[in-house]
Amino acid sequence: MLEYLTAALMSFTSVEVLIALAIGVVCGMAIGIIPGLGPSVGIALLIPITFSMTPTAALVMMTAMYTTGVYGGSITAVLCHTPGTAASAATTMDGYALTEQGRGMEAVSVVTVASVTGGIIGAICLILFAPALGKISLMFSCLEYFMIACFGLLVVSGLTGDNRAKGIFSALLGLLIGCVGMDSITGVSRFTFGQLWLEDGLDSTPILIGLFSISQVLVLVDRLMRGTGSTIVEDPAKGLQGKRWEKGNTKKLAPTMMRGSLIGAFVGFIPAAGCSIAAWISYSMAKRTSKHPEEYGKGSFVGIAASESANNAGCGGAMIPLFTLGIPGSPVTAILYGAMLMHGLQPGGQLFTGKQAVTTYSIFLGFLLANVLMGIIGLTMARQMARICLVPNSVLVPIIVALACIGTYALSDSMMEVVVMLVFGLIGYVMKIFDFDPAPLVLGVVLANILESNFRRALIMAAPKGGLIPYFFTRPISIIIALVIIAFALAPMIGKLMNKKA
Amino acid sequence: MNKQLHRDVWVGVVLLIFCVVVFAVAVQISGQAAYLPIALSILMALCALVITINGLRKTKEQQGQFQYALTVKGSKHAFMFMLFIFIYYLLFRYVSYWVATPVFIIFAQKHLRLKSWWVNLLITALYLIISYFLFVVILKLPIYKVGVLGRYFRIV
Repeated sequence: MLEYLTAALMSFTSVEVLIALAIGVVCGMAIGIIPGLGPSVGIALLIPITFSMTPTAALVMMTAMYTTGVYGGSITAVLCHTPGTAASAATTMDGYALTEQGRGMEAVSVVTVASVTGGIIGAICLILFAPALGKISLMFSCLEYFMIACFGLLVVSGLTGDNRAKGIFSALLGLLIGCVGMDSITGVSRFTFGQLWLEDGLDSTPILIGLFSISQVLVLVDRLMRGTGSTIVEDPAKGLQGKRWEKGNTKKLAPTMMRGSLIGAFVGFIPAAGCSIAAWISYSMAKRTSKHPEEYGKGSFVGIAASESANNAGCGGAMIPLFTLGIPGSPVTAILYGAMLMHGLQPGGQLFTGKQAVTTYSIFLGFLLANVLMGIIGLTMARQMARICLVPNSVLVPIIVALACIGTYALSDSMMEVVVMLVFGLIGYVMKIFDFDPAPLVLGVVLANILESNFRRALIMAAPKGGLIPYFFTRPISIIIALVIIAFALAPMIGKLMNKKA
Repeated sequence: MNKQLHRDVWVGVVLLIFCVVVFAVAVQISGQAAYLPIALSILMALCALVITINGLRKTKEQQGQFQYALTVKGSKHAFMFMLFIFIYYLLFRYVSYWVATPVFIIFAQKHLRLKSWWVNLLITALYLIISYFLFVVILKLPIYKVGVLGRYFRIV
């Protein structure tokens, strides 16, 4: 591992990678600060721009945007009582209370230090644990890869909470869209209706740009025209008052940050849990173990340190199953999955051996450096960064549309891709109206080919052993994955039953 | 029937019809290639059925009193804006990106109630300069091929 890490460090002598890192950090913070947007919209828009970049530069930029987007959302949570992303919701109460007490500068400093600590610990967990888990995936055959793909779909479709049937429908629809085009094994055309341009199938990138960017644009337009837009009109930099750092803060907050970071990395690793749940778990644990729980919600520095360290550590944790097993546990990691495939990086053990290992470790190191850079910018330029949220949605909306159109065209110099993107933008908005989550659909499109080809290869491999079921029972890993899938599928029902009994 | 049904009932029924159409198309695909689409259409139909049943349950529980965050009727502004985007696409395709974009950005900002013309024009100009530099100068995107006026914006 050390030799790969050393080689990966060398990739940061490249100007392209360094610029990508800087752009990822600054744009990520900006997009996190602006309420209504978030890392998923930003990364979806970035994908076409990174098309001509090296995989290292592209993925460094996107993962940097992921972690800094989560941090950026906390700045507006503290200064304007408006969390930029869901992961910053736990910070809002204490952070804004501190701003009202005239201690906004100190609150933003604590948020920054806690986020950097969490991000670095999450990155270290990623570097340490991902290769070990990657080795396990080397033992996988087609059957296990098929089951892992099913598990990934189940995880993302479960993100929709109460509407699990809608989530699963969305994932299945994604798989169906992934079927469009010529079948990779038999060469038979499916759902092409005589259209030649459909023979190669639908690329997942225009679909995800449409579903995440255009549909979100329509939501913003709707809010704006109804007068419920979340545009902030008062200068948030006014809230940055008071000292930057109290003397005793380091000693007081360090244990909470360490604990929050470890909780965050672990919870982030659990598929479907994500950064926002990590933040709430860490916050409530800090409150429960505190000698002064009454201070929470009224301006507790320990509270914001707990939630902020956890949500940024959660980003690193969420990337472990993504890189090793191809299980994206959140919409952002589902988009990252699509981006990885576009750049020729197939999640699994092969990412940690040979030439690809250098790329993988470079991405991990880039993620770590992004957190450090985020801290430097956050501590020195908080005032300027906070003002980004003053940019009105009326300015952002047309720019996002124009960028999405040219970016999608850039993918393959084709206007047909732009049509696909716009159509899926409309579909995404209609899905939002009827409470369908677009993330499972995107993952379905991305996984369709992997899922089907592995299943059919598994059928061929199982034929000499008497069929798929006898073959399944000869594979202990398959049995374990099947048990995990069953447990994951039944968990909400068991939870409901237990709640009813209670 | 006076009691209003939860919209998930209708959503489920529409999806069920969609699944039947998909199934009818899928069974016409020859060989092994049909297996996945057929399986998917059946599974989707089951989900649609669950959505319908959940909708009926919600109708019973909430006795016709529903509140939705977003509705088709209430989204007329969003659909109108989508229409603008499609007009922008047509201008992009048949005229040029560099002509369609300033028209779209200026119009959209005004439509979305940005008051200052000065800010409107400044942002449009800034966007055009930055995007031209990024996509044409750096990424060498052959966008000049699109639209009748595209060739006038080709970098030499």
